[in-house]
Amino acid sequence: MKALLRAQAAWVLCLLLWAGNAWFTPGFTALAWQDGRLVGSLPDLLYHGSTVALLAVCCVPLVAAAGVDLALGALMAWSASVLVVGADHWGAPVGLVLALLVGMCAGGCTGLAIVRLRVSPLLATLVGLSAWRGAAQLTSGGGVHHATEPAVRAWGLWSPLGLPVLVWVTLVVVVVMHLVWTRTTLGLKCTAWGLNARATEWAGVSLLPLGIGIYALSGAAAAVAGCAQACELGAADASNVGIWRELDVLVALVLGGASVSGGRVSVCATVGGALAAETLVMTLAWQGASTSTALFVRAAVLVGVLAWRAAPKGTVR
Amino acid sequence: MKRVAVGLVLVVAVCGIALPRYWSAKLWPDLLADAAVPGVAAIGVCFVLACGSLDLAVGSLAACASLVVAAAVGAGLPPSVALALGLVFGAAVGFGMGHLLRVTRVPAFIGTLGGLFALRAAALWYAEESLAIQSPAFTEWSAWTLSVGDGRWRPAALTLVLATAVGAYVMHAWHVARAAWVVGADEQAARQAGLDPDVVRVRMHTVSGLFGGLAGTLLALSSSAGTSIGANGLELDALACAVVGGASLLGGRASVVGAVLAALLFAALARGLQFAGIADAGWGRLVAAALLFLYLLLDRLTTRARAGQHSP
Repeated sequence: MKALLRAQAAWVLCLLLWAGNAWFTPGFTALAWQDGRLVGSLPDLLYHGSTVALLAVCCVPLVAAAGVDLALGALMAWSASVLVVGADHWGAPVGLVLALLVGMCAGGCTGLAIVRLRVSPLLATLVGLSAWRGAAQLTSGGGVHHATEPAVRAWGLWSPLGLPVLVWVTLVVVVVMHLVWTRTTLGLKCTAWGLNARATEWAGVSLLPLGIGIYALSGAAAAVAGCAQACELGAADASNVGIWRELDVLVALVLGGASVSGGRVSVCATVGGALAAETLVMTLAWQGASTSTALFVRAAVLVGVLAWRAAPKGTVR
Repeated sequence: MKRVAVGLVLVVAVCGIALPRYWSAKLWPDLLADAAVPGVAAIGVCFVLACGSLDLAVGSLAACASLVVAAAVGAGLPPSVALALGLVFGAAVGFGMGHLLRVTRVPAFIGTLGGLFALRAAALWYAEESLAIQSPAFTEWSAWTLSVGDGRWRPAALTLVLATAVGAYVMHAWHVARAAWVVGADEQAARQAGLDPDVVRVRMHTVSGLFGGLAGTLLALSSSAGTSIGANGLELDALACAVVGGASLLGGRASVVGAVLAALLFAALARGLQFAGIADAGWGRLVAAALLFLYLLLDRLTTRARAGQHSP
């Protein structure tokens, strides 16, 4: 029981924050039905949390492999632009397919550079960050590009069972990722890579397809998240979509107990981390804190949790 | 470093031949002024990279320092004191961050990433967008130029030259900076040789913070305002300059002059694009990313050829 609590501390934190809000903030738990959609703080949390959870869960393999993806936000912006511009030219389904392809290819290229050129993931995704943001600005012609295709906006409003479609997509991805991570050798291979890349290669694991695959996965997740945001707003803002998203994802992973230098990561705890991080942001918003305060608190949580975990046992914690 | 110098000469030559009016007496003063902020930040980044650490908070730190300068001038302090305060602020924050990393044992990239967000949040909390500096004395400082022939050298350009000279000298002559090379190359060996890697790293973070603060004061000087949204992505530009200039992310290898030459190379390219009529920010980012990628590719190929094998 104690081990379970420790492993899933993020879920406990999420529940505690939630209970605290429900107890202290009047009107926090109110739910209403509006235009075929559930409104209130819980569906709000599920929607915002699912963006972060989707990105974080798809980053689990690369974090286990001692990688990091700082290009997520920029790739979200590029795929959002591709979706909106592609939908204008060839219709919304083609735009969506193009956006997903762009995300996967961009991620795959990053993975290729990391494995073949042995560039550190940090540097490779920094190059990506600059390149994808530039590509987004070129695709949408700079600034905000409004979608003229009605299907894009319709997708954004589509809410089966009262929840936005992104929540359901995330749910499916999380379940599939959890099964893949725990039941196949993917988790083993990635963790081994994170612990010792050369030994893993000598043990017969081919890093090239693995690297391309896991970075393409995170790229695809960024594409889905970017498309969801573009549909929700009915427009793509090349300069502002996905800004600070890397921070949210890192906070979610770290709250979920991931080690940033590779090795141990859990899908289930990462989802808890994403929800806990979003609950924290929501709590701050409900208490009237500004966005800059929320930003500061997230940065402090990121460093604080890592510092707390890095403190040697037996000292004052 | 040789490679960057060749690249810079090539870019300037090609742009000068292909684009009329690119080559003029204004070219070098303007390139130096354009490269000043990323160049100065890159010098600081060279010091942290040398000791095997990393600083991703330079951009946010520069924004904060520019706000400090603006606030100090707003409080009625003379410009010289305000600019010095910006530097002191940078060094103090750099020291604080280095010390925090030392105490908490958080990996440098995530600790300074936290610093990036926290400092940006502090800047946004202090000022919504920017803080204009309305002081005749300060305007006099920022409008000052040194005329040599037809060229007019702005303070930023001269500061970059001075900072490069000082940085390059200090990197080789100061015993702590030399210790940083040892720590970056092999921490265990450094410890055996009686050096304390933790202390060395804190000092290098302080130096990086100082140069970040200098970049911030240059921002304030050139725009006559403190900015809370500016210098966004400066840490990436600085890192790119340092890496293209010959620094290794693994530590033990960095070149101040190379980093500044790389900043000039990026500035020369951006200016070339501008003269060719492509002033789009998107193209600028793409070209910078492509250049960095090209460098990494070249570096990989030459290293492999030199080592003759598949080295890590």
